[in-house]
Amino acid sequence: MLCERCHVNPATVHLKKSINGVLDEKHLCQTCAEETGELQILNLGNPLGSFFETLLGSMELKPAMMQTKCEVCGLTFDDFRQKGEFGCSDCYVTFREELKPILRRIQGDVIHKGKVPKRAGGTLSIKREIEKLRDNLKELVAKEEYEKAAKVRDEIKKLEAQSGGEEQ
Amino acid sequence: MNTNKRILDTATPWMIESGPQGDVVLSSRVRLARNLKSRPFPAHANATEKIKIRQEIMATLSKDKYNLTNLEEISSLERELMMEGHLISPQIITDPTGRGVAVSKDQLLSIMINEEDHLRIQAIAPGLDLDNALTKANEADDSLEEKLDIAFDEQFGYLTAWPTNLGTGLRVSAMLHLPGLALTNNLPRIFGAVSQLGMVVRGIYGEGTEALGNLYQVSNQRSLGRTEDEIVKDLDTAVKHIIGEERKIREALLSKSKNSIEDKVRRSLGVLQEARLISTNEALALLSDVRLGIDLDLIDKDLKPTIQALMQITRPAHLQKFMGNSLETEVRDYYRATVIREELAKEG
Ligand SMILES: [Zn+2]
Repeated sequence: MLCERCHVNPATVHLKKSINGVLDEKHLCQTCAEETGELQILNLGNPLGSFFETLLGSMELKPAMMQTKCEVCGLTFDDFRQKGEFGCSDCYVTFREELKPILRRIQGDVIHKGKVPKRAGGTLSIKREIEKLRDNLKELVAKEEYEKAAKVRDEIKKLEAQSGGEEQ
Repeated sequence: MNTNKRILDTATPWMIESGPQGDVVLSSRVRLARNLKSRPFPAHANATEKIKIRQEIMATLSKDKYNLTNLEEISSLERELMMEGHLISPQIITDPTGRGVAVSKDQLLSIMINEEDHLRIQAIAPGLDLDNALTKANEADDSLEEKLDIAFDEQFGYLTAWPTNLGTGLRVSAMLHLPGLALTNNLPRIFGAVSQLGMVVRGIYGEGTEALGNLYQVSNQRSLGRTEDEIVKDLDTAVKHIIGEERKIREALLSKSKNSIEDKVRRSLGVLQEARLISTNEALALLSDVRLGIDLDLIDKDLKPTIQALMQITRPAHLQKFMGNSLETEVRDYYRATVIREELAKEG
């Protein structure tokens, strides 16, 4: 897609604005977005500022989202952008989707693969165990070791029952 | 002045000990960031809330195992001492209300309460021994989690005030003494390579401070998407690479210019033995030289614990504590020089 203003450069900034209930979409290149002032609202002096700036090329901006509040601590996404830090653990649930592109940039990943706490971890340990067994099962089937595969399958069923059967 | 008590006794024990790879690595450190579920993070909590959170956390910690301190209840000198001993961070000392620290009897494990996160569990080991430090931090983490509702998310892992600590909440670091690389202007090259591997290099006091005495802290940057063991292994590999480079340069210095390097480290020892006024920065630079001399077998090894202790004790708060009164800068420089001279004379 080419920039709708200069029709020369590829559009890298995709803006969605809701004005009086009417959705307005703009697709601009970096230069035109800067010249029209569309990028100014995002030029913030916080420790993560440079990350945000480099993110602009790929990020869709939804002004409505900026005003979404964390129900527990009252922090808005706009507050987060200004300071770079969250107000409480529930902010992560509230802003989960908006945060992902930022995490990809600063962490290179969006999925935790480390330690799982005993109590707060819920059924995550079991789910990870099931995943491991499924890989194992695939290998055994490929090697035609059906007796062993049957045992692994039983084990998976047992664990699935333990985790509440909510496996997708 | 009263120098009957050995200054070595006032230093943090692990700082005097030499661990694995002790010729280059002073200490290894592991920090886990944890928070209580659905409670305001410290920066968003008022004093009353912070005090309440601190009470809840401290109630789960055994007094047999930890010394518990409310930071607003001790003097600013005591707080500075804790900072110089790496038990609390520089940010915490200016706004102590509602903050606290639990320190194990051997001082190898500390839990900062209400710093940027509700809990920062920190384990230290002398030398390069990251696995050991991680095991200790994990044990403390497990026992805290038995009694406290910790904020954890299946997708994001441990939830932290800054998304830069998200996931494992893990920061692993090693404190390195790199006089050879510094002397030969090789640090930019090495640190450039290290940052390519996703590591960060800082001065001795952590964020935003210059490196004194050729001491550098190398730590991981990313905390999400890899397991704790992988993060530790990556840092261990990077540190071993730096150790190899530092040793290569030390050997080259020794074989190509032994006289000039011996001259340099012995002159530094001479200044420490004779000077009447020494600033913190000069003391750390000279102690760094002497430490290098010891590691190159040019100066007697028995001096090492004293040098390691002096590296810590000649810092302002430790010196003031040792002297037992508040000191002006010039008087302090005089006492610093005196303490160093007398301690070195005891070893001679
Ligand atoms: Zn919140």
